[in-house]
Amino acid sequence: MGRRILLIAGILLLCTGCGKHYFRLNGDTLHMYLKKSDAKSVYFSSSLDGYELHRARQVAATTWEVTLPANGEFTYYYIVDGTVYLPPCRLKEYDDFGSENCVYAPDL
Amino acid sequence: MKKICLITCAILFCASLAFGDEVQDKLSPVATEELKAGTREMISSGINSDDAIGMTKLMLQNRFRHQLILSAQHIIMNAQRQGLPVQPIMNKAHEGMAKHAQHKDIVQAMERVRSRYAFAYQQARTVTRNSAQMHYVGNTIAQGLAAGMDEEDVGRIMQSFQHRAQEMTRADAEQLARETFMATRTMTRLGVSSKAAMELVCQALQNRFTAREMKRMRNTFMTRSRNENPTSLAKSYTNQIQGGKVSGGSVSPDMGGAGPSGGHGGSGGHGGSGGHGK
Repeated sequence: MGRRILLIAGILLLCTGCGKHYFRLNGDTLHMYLKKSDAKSVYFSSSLDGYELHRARQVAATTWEVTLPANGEFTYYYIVDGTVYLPPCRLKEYDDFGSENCVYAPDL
Repeated sequence: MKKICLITCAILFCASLAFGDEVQDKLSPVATEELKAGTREMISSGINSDDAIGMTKLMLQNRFRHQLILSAQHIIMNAQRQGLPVQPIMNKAHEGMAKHAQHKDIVQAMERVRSRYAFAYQQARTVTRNSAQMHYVGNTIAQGLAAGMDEEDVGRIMQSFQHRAQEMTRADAEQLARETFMATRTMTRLGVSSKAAMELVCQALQNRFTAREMKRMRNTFMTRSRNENPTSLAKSYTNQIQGGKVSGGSVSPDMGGAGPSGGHGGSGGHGGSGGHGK
């Protein structure tokens, strides 16, 4: 019993730092959300505009949002508290710097 | 006639002065004369002046060594001369700076992007002479390479495609090339190895898949990969086609013959399924 509680507590502890990532399409506007409980600042960077940094809006205690035009696919990543952060995403490609970028595809 | 020549010369002279002034105004006083000359050369080779000046300026602001900036300018001019898109290369420079990558690594990454596009466009030119189609296929191949496709495997796919294209009209062959490389790109982006993706599309081409069937296969693959390991799924598809369960014109129900679904994100979130190892 004690072991099980420890295991569950361990998993919960691990997951508090995990990010969840999802998006919503509203007409020709794409809303991307990142759930990150321990984040103090979140920036979004994508191939849509030459990887300029855009500050994400904090819409709830742990949820950050960016709004984009939904016109085709693009690659992206986040910068969370000054560090490059790649959320869990289905489509990825290598970034040529030893890491990866997420790929947003409208037909996904 | 003399008047026309005179006016043309005057216009050209004014244009060159305007370029000169723009570079001088926007890059002084930090840039050396060599860097300004490089920027002018970029503009005269056809690169948008805002892009050329912007990239050079950003690199100067990020304290790149002048030699590295000159190398970056040469990479972009090479791409322009080869008829390759320069935006992905410039994007790579911006991405590298945003990620605070080492300056040398950024210039190397720019060259890798140029090299990928050079290979991809070389392949695409064998498919079609139609500029729009060639760009589309070239970009798709380059993006597949960025996702993990090997050049050798792209070459193998191209061989199978060329064999299949002999029996098709030019328009049908162009469509098939688009769908073939889109399927390959999707699979590698989902984490399928280059070899497994190549084997699947080659098998499909050998089994006389049409562009429409290739598209359907890609759509069902995307849908099924939400719940199944993409690499196992690619192998299973290959085995099904190889075993004769599927041939051109008859996509089996196992492969999701119901056609495209592609449900959109909603609140579900991305699964992060499948590894992305090379």
